[in-house]
Amino acid sequence: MVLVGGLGAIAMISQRRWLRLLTTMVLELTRGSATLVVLFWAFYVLPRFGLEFPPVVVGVAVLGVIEACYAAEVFRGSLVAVPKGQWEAARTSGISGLALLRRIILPQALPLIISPLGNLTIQLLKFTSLLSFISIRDLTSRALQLRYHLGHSALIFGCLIVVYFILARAIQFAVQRIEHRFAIKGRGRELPELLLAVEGA
Amino acid sequence: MRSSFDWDWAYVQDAMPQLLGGLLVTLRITVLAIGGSFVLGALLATGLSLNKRPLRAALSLWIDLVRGSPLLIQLFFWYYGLPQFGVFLDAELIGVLALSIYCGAYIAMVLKAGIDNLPKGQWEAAEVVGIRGATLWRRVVLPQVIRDTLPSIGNYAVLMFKYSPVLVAITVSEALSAALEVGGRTFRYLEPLTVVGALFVAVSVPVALLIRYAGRKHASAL
Repeated sequence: MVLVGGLGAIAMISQRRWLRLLTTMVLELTRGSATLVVLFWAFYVLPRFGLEFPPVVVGVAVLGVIEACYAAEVFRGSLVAVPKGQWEAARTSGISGLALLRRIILPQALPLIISPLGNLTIQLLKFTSLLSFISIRDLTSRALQLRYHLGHSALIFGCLIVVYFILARAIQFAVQRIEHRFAIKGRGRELPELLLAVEGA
Repeated sequence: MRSSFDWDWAYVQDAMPQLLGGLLVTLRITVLAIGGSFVLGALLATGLSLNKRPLRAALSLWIDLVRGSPLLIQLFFWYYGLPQFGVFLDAELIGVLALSIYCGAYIAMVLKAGIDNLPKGQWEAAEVVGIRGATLWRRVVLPQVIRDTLPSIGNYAVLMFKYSPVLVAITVSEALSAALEVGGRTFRYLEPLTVVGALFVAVSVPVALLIRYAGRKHASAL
């Protein structure tokens, strides 16, 4: 997910107009689609084209691709957030291509993406509950089964809410630790508007 | 068995009224949920900004619980849980409520940030001219905050639209359920699911672009 997102982001700010247009379009369309509909589509329609996978593979692939598109937007925002002068200065001193990205830009951009990526991870955690729709035996489908046999709906789902909440909190805590570790000294922690727009999306 | 790639336009035509009907229900749910979540978000944000510690702690916990768990689980919680307490509501209404509660928590955070960003002078000026209490919130604070946060709130409106298919889990007959029903009748899921997927994209992408455009225009106007 991270890898695809990164590639997408680099493609989006690329100098080549057609590449930029194409990736922007693909990402826009994917982010505009409803996750659950895509999930059902992959589950019911792909086998018609002879692409038959176990539900787990379908589920992970769909969620992975959709998350990657959101991640690409985060990466793009972070790359754009690096001051233009940094790019120009590097080019002037003869650093280009991969070295430019790896040595100059990414070290500045990466600290910015930690928090939004953490949010995306929590979003992903919450999306996994949708996999119960395509017959994957996750936490949600187990709970439904339990409810069927025992009743006590409010109790079961109330507990489940707390479990997911604790998991989300754990992710958030880890993200804060990482962020703290990588915080750039002497720079405010405020995120560019672009990154905030993606949060919780 | 037919060849794998055989898009059947006649079939699409037959299914279209039902699919569009489903989309209409989806849109209705979304619009209602936008209203509901906005009201809820405004109430939560106002509560968070009042200087009452126990109230603030309770509201924060509520918001964190709602934001930390999947919409689907909350949906089940209300759908299966409410009847246990003698509350029987229509599935669609529960869907709207659950969506409102879910996105209301996010909108509350957006509005809260907006309230915190409001210049201090606004509060002081209001105090000087004697505006207090509910009037202060209704006439001074919220109008400005809502104006400033509208683009973010618009994003959540699109989000609600994209999340609404989850309501299929509690038997609401929205767009996705229409597609599944049509597909289940004929064992052909290709067309209905593709069409509904395209409908979702066709609605949400233009709206999202419009919101972003409006947001940018708004930002440059400031």
